[in-house]
Amino acid sequence: MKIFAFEEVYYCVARKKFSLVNFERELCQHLNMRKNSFAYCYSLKIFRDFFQYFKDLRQEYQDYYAQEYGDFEAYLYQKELLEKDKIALFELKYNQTILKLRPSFSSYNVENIIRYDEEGIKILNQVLEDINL
Amino acid sequence: MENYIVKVKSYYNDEVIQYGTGIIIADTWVLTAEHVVCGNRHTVEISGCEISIKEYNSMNGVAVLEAEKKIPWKVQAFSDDEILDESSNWLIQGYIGTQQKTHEITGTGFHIVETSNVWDCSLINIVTGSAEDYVGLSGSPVFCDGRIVGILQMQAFNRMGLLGIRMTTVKMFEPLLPEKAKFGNEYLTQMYEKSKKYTEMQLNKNLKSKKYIPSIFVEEGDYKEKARYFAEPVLFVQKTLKEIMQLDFQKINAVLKEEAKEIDFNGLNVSVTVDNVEDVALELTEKIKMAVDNIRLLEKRLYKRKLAWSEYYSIWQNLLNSSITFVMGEWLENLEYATKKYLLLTKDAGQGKTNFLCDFTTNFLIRKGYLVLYYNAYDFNQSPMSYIHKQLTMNEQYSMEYVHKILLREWERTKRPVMIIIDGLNENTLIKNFGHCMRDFLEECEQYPYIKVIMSTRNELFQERFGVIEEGGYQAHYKKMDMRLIGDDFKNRIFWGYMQYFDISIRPNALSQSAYDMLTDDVLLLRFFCEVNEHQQQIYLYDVYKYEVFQQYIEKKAKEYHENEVILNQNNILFMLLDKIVGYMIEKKEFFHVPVSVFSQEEERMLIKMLENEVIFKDEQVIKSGILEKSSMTISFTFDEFRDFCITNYVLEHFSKEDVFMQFWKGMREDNLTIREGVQKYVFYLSRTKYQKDLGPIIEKVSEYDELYWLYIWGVQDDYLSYEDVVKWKEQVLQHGSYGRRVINYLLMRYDCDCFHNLNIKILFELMDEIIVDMGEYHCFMQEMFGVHIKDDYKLLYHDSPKAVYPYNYLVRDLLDCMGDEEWNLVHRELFRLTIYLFELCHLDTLQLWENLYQNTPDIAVVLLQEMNTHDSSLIQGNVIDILEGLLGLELGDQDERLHNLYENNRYKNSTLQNLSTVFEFVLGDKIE
Repeated sequence: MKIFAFEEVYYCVARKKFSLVNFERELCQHLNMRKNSFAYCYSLKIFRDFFQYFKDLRQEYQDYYAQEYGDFEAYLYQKELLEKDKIALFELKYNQTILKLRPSFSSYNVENIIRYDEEGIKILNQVLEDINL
Repeated sequence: MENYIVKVKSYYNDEVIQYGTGIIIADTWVLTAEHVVCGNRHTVEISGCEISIKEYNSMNGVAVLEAEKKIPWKVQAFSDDEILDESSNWLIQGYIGTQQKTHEITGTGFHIVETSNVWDCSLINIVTGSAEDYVGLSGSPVFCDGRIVGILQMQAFNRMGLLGIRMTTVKMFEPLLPEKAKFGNEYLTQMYEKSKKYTEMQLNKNLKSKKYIPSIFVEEGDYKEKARYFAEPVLFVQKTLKEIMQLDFQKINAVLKEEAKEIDFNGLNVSVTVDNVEDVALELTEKIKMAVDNIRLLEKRLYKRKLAWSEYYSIWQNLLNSSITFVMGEWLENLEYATKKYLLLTKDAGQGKTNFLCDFTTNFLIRKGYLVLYYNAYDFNQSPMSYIHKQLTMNEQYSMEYVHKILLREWERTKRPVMIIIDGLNENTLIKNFGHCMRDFLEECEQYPYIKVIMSTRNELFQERFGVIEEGGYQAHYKKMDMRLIGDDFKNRIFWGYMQYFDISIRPNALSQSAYDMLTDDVLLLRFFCEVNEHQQQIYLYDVYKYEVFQQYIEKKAKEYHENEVILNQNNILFMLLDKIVGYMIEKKEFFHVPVSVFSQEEERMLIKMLENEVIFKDEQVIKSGILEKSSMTISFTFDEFRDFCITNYVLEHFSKEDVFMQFWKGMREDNLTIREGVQKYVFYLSRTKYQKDLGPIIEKVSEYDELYWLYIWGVQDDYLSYEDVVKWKEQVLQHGSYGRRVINYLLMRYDCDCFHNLNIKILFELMDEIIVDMGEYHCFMQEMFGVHIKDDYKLLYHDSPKAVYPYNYLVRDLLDCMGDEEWNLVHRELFRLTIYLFELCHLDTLQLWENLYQNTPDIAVVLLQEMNTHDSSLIQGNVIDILEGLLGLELGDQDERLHNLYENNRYKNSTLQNLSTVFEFVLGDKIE
């Protein structure tokens, strides 16, 4: 999995039928921290806040917009206003979707942490790199 | 008689015991009433021959028989979707009696009775074809509205002792029918086809006139999403509901619980259907409002609770520091659209309303199979309802009563409205008080629950012309959507979309921010610009010269308007019309609202074309006619600047004597007419460009020429700037004139000397070369124009704006950020040269800049240093030496012989060393090695 930040909007490439429960379970195994330590809980909270209100864009496209747009990429370009070079960065495979992450729904705090730390997304992606959901 | 209606006989031991009528429904299948085939052998008569047939399948008193060989005809007209009620007309066709003669019965009225398992409908009110015995007609098709809605099943006496007939409707035997024989409602099928064809034709008209350009449509803001809620509430209310159900209010509820104000959407966990969509939308709206109120209340109470800061902060951070109330506000807005019936879109002239509506119609309504009728308001010469009636009844082929029943039933089944689109209310010229007409139309629409209307008009003069729409009795169903917001995404896509559509390419690095902003802030200007520059390649776009755009636009349109007409001078009629409008304006000193009544019919035709192109717009005004005041149609220019341009052209072409022109000029300034600013600007431009020879000397005589010069010279194309201008500009800088700083800024922005040949950054270098002779003066100049600005990050200073024209550290930073490939560096090479002049203002960053430049494009760096190495000023030579030393410190630089040569040949370095040798010789009395 990988998070992309495009002008303060966050997207994550994940497999179709992404589930938050499975994600948390998998995440706990990859944090490499002592369970229930402050660092462990804090890291978990950051990920939880980031992913809690994800929007599965491919699912949304299929449920509401498939008749309007020729394909998923057209939907991303026209409805999500994502430029074609950015869509190409996702390197999307047929079994993958894009999650639009909405951390501000949970709290502005986590968004601020990431926004003001240039390494923020990089660190999150280091953890997500080995998670293949 | 249709050839798919056939005679059926049933035999028992070679004796016919039952006569009936059948319908060929497939290659070998015939449908009839089951009781017809009561014998042990059956036949069907095809072209006079009896063909054996056997029973294949049956249900609810209806049988399908299978022939041994293929039968040539078949029917494709069964429908269970027609309206069968007391007022529906019906027709039966079949073969009556033992002789099986053709027979027709007609009547009016169906009476549905669902008590039998072989028939479910009585046919009442026989008008023609009644008989004492209907034997033989069993299995005959019963037609209604062009479809077979059932088959005749039996005859029976009613309570009055009259012989009546009963049928089995298609619904009872529908599984027996092949798919190809089944159809929907005849009217609806036709209507959907016709409305689609009509609407596509309207859209094509807009495509052809380039009012609709699909490739440049950008879904800005949430406007299209709101339109979706408006058009398809069932789907999109469900979407909002799903989003809401995802939210977790557990933590907030833990606090709200104390006051019994918990947020709970669980009661709404339902599937949205056509039956409950309105209720769900309303309930959802109420609940979201309540949730937002409760959260806001919690915020307020927190202040009042006098909590310790830590506790307050903890609650705030954990519960309230999120965008959730804002998001819920957006959902509320969307839901509001789901419950509306009339939607009015407003946007400034020429900014994309038509494009929006055409896109929505094409990609949403048509793709989703809506019944949609698209109108351009300028086509109306009577109320829209008369057009709608005409189309819905297919020119009265169907009664409005029938249409109403069908569409109402369809609406109740699907909640998909008949969508009426009326684009450009402001463009209608044929109906007086069109605002009132629209209001009456919307009020009339209240009778038709299944009709939804989307209209569009321009923002300008909305209140004056269409304010009445907002006063109708339908306000609960009405919503105005002002589409003012223009985001950066929109600007970017619309700009490049237009360039691509009109096949225009811009030279790399030749697009300035100011030109981009000017064109994207006003899509109509962008449109004008692209139309006149269609198919132009590799253009410079540092500036937009409006007078050029307008001039070329008029000429282009003049040709276009007469494309298929044979006339001697194509430009004449348009120019004559513009002259007439302007002449009227000047005569009346009234620069808006020219009454349409002053134009001839031919001129009016031209006006309509100009309206379509948004060059002018229409309005309604009270005009004094004699001693009476009456409402009259008027026209005005869309662009004030375009109007001023036309006025200027008119004045210059018609006031042939200098004194007449001067009189107009003086009057315009004294009366401070609204056109003053625009006209004097265009007079100045034209005196410097197209009419330089004739107008130049005249305008130079006016007392305010100097003022005009410094106001407008910046907008004149470089080709028209002369040596006199160079002298004048230099004077401003050297003599510390009030426009000195602006001159520097202007020259600085003209760094691309391949594009700007006359006044460019080289003039700035010439100026600096003159000033540098006096070092004190030069330092003052550098500080004033390029002094470094240190940003006050801690906001200690109230006024923290840079004082210099372009702080040097900003210039270096921008160059460092943007520097890239050879092409970019080449275009901006003069800015790198400037850094040699200004080196001492920020030498470390400048060294970094040159290191980067040298590493990226060593040739460009070396050529620049070579050119500056022989500069007359020792200061500049010294700066070159510093830069060379920096570059020689690089591994790559140290290996570059050209740099070593430059270093060796630098006169400043050599003279400094010589001077130092002399000093040491003098002090030490010996020669220094």
